[in-house]
Amino acid sequence: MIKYALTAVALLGVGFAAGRLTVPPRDPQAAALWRRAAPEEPGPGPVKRGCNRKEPQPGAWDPAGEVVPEDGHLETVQELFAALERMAANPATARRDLMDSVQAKLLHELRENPSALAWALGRFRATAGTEPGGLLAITLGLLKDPAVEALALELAGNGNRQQRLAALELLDRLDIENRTTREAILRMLRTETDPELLAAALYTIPAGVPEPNEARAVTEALQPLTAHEDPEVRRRAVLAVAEWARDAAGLEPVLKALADFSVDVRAGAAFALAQAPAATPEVLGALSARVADEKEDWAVREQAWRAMARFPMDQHAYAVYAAFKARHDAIGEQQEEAQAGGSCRDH
Amino acid sequence: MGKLGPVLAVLSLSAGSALAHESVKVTGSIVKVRSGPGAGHPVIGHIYLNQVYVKFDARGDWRKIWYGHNPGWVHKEFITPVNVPNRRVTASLLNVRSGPGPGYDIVGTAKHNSWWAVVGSSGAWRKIYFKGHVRWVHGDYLTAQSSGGGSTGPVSAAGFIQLPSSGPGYYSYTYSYRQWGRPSMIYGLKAVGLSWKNHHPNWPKIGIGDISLKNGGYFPPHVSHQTGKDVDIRPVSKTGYVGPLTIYSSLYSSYRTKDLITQHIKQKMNVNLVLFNDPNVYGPLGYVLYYPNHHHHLHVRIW
Repeated sequence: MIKYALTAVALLGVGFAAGRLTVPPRDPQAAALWRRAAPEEPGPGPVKRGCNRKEPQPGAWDPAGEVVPEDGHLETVQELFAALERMAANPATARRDLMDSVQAKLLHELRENPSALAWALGRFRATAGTEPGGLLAITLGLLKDPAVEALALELAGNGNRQQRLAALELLDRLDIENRTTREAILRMLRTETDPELLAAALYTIPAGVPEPNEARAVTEALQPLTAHEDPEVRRRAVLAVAEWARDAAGLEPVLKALADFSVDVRAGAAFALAQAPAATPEVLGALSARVADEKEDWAVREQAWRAMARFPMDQHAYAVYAAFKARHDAIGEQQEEAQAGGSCRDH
Repeated sequence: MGKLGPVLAVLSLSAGSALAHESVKVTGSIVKVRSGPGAGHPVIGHIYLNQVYVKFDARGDWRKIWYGHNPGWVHKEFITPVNVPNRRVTASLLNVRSGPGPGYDIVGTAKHNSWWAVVGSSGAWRKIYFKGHVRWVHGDYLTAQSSGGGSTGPVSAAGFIQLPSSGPGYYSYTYSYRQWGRPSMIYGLKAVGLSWKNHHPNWPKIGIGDISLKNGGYFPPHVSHQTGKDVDIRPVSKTGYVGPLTIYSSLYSSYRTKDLITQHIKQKMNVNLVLFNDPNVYGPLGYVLYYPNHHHHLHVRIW
């Protein structure tokens, strides 16, 4: 017991002397001691509502502080990742600020250390589609590194189903404007039949301002998917079409989707029209009709109403807009009680 | 009273609790409101001459009124019954505003089943006295209202949809399976990201964390995040730094984070409340509340 107490005190001494937190020691008993000794919320501060605990003012002290954990045990990227995995495996007890600290350190290592990145890429290849793979993807996705992109593209094309889904998600996270990636995704959209893979690929198309011919190629690949039998594929395709449409004709599938039998697709189409580069009076008329239809689902009406705000409106359209706004404002006055007095865990 | 004493005392308490809700006018120029029925209880505020509140309980010479978010006690000497209609709040929690419209500041909240004397109207809005001030609440959430309908909440058959792991103006810092939400949440976040990017092309992207699981339900370690209406968002740095951040960090920007809340989140989403612990943010904004453990993320709840 004394040994554990000394371990905890020593760790605190190292960690807090620098104004930083460390990650807990690995030994469960020492870790428990560490947690008991570590201040949950440092320093005094106001408590407005909720649990009776105190927090300091901004700038007073940095508890998690984008920090490099200074635990000597965590010298390698493998150990950092293992620590992150352990915390992620126990979400009910893990402290978010400590997880953030370890993730920040991991990101730093991957950016600065080529061998660390090589290890992480190998690890992602081996674990893509599993919980640890997903955890790694969150960090790799922030790197914007060509090696990460290349691996994701490779697995998206040639991996097993799980790997392909995980790789598509990683490509989505990377969000790199890249013609090669775009063309690979378009090939997949033209040939893939698995709805889940199609849906994942539809979230992955890199944005950008391509030359007109390429933009046309994108919309041509997308348009058949707006009539796909799976509503989620249709919804995502409609969103993508609206993003890539360069004229009113390009928006035709989106307008058509406003009458889809799926409420999710109709709501998606309404939202998509708010983001579309091309805006026409015909689009305003279609949106206005959705908002005015009392039998329409609220989610569709609300998205259509928000979309209307970007258009110059005539008297009739404005009357529809204003009437819905009055109703919307009234509903917005209702609040739910914050869960004050309940658990002090993260909300 | 002998043995009957405790029984009578209980009856007296019961009678006090069963008092009808009655509008009462303040007859003193400035009257203290206390937390309990007696001069020994702390003063929690003041009410003023001719203001009207609703009385609903009594203990000896003291009368309990709906004063603000919580009730308070005043001495019976300084109030008198008055013929002013009173109404009960039907919402779970109702915004109280400084003026008759959603553009005015939220200055408090009235609890479900609290009672208020309605002393005036402006359109759909009702004028009340709240914590010694003239305030306004929306009439759709008060009983005995003849506003012509519209009091039911939105009904939707739409399912949960997934947030893409990145998009204009934002990135995800959690697993994609933890980012499912209602359409108003997901499209709201996308709209916030786009608006953020358009207004601040050189500021860092917004970090978006947990929303809900695919079909909602229990989601440890969260207490909430079960209905697709809650999202965690990282504070904004004053540099281009993208990653974990707390309000205690030298990189943290109170200014940018407040801008994110007021100019983007509040404009593009149906914000119910925000939990966040920077006093420079929760101080001036009525819908932002302090809550423990919210120094490294904003918790945004929509309706």
